[in-house]
Amino acid sequence: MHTESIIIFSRLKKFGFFLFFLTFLTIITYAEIHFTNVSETFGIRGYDYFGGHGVCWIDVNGDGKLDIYIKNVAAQGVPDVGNILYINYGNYFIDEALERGVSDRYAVGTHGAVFCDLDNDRDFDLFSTTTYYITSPAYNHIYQNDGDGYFQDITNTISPSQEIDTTSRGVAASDFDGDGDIDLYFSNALPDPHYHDPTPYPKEKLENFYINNGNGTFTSMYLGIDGTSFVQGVTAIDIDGDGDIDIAEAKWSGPSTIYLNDGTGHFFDSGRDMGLPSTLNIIDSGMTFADIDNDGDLDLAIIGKYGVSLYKNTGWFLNRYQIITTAGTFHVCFGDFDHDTDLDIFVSGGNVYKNNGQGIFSPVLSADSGLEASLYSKDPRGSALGDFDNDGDLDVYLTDKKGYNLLLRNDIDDSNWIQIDVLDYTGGIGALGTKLDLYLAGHLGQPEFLKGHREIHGEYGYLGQDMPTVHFGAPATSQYDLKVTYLNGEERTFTNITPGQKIQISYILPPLYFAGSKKTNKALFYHETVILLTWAQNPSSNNIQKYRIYTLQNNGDKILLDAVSANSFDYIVRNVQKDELYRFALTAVDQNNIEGVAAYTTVK
Amino acid sequence: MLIESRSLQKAKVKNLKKYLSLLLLFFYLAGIVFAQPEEEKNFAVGILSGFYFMQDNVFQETYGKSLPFFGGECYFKLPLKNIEAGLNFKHMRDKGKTTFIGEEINLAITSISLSFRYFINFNKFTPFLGPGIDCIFYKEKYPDAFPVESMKGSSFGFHIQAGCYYHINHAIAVKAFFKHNISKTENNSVKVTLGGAELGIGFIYYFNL
Repeated sequence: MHTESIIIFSRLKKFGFFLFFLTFLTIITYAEIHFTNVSETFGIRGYDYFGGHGVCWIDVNGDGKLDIYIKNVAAQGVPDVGNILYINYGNYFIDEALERGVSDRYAVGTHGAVFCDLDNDRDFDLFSTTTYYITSPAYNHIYQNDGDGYFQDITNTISPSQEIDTTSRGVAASDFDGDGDIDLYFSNALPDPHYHDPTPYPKEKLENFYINNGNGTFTSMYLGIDGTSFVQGVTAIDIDGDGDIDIAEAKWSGPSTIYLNDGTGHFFDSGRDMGLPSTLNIIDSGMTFADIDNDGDLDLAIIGKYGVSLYKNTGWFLNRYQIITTAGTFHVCFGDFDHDTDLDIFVSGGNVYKNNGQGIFSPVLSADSGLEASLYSKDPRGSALGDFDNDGDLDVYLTDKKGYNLLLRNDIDDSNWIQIDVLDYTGGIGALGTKLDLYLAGHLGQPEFLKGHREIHGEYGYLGQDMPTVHFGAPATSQYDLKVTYLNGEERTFTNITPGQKIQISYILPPLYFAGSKKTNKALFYHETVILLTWAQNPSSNNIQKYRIYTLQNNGDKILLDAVSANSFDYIVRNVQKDELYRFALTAVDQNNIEGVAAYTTVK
Repeated sequence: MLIESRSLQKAKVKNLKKYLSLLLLFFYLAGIVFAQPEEEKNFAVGILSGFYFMQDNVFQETYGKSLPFFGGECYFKLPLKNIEAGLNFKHMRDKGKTTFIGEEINLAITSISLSFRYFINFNKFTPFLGPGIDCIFYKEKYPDAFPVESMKGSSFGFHIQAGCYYHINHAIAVKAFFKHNISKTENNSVKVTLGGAELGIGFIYYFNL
């Protein structure tokens, strides 16, 4: 008996060691970052004239597969190069920029371009810049998506119409004035800013914003960002965490800086106050923001000529703490490539750097990362992250000015991720400016359990635009809670999310046409005054399960009157006083029991 | 709504016809069996039926144009030439719907009247004409969702009537009549015109005590 126990125990030990080895192997395996260059497989390397500068991952035709828009500038002596729109057909891509109306073949070409839902109709429109060099006119263009990925040039909706050529590079799109629609910003609103001259030129007020009027037209405006020196990359994001969108500009000659939004859509230069260096003649190409230490605020990477300077956000001050030496790079992307909940760095034309969880980065050997192709790219420029094969991880597209572009497929194969598509509070897609915080389940709002903080933004760094779907690395051993903070300040929470899935979350908009009128419901001997409340479904709100009707008290308190099904669009309030004034609120509630913003009506 | 109202009226008329046929048969047989010798008779009893067309607009919206009624009457000849006095009662009941929400409601009206009539005999026909006073009792019941369970009350009114008897034999007559009622009431600040036109027929049995 005793001998048998020893044998069983011995076998259990062996089994335990085997299990331990397997677990260890699993950890090692999932922690690896490895990419495969699949550019040739998919035939999306660009054309022989090269000229790739920037890239956007975007689903232009709404088929659920990410397409690629490549911003090209004349190179190799080939003039009038067009941009490329690779439409994703699953196993292959086809360039359809020309037939879809976005080849944008003007002047020298395009540096900055950003996709965003300008008219809140749930497709991605395009703002594309034109770079001046000798050839005139060099104007920017706005293209409206018809929903199927075909675009119409609506540049003539800008007022006053453009009369000055631009040397635009980075652009930005977001709701700068907080009025519920996406505005546009572009850099270098001048024909010839002498960008090779390191001397800053005199401040000049430039009408470098196209403010969305909400009716399909745009007004060209100056909002406080002067032309002081040549700008490369532009990033629009809430840098100071005050709920509005700020703008960072990486500059070629003058010091890169941050323009803080005063809350009304006017900007003031705060770079020096926030800790950015005031050096001149330092060539910066891009500024990329992300929360690299999972503390809920945005940290910064400035991409300079000789390396990437990393700054941690200490509340107000940006404190430089690490420099990654990578000569000649233009852009970096932050993404959780290994799904361990912290953000790693991909350097355009360089390697990938792994985060130790505290924001300290160390390179992954190219033999391990599979990024030899990136390291040997000729003149790498912008890059961007997207999940083109819908396998849950982040792939990379890298443009090259003097060589072929690269599609680098992330080879991680696990379920340790969560992807989130956000429908904006305006009803549009993209949800620029929305913040997402992922916590371990049951610890919503507790900073020590924060597993990722993301802020959705458009073009960033040097001319890159990641897919609008938010990606979190999230080990599948746990469930997660999510807090979404929209740009209007409203918050929504979602609990117990299981990793390995892509979810769509919506901000629930108020029902439309909410109104009420008094009616008399007569029997022969009793006349009852009732209020008939009517409304219509807001087509921008998805998965509505019911409507809640409230009466509003004089002190502003809401008292729940009733809840009716999602198919009901009227409600009768019984036995009211004929001469009294009544106020009602109506909200829609979705399948997650999330209640939307209320519509109000007063009935006399 | 109009279609429903018409079909309702048809059903009411069909029921009425059935009852009236039975009553006609009953009175005819009773007249034959209990007929007294041919002499002037001072008393009469009878039954009535017909339709009441209430003037009130809300009534018409909720219950339709008319209410069927059943009732009875008794008369005696006064010691004045060609004048008789009588008491009659009638009862009306119907279902309707409220004007806006369309919930089912029930109405019951009972009236007791004192009438005086002047009549002239023309062989088998006896036309008559005369006024009277009414005492009307009403009750309307409401569904659960309604703010009140029911409303009830009473009212006084006046009427004038005209009609004609047709004497089948010396003890049995049938009559047709028209009555115009005037009555208004107010309950819970709701004013209701209870008056209206009444068209009906009756079967009368004459006798002496």
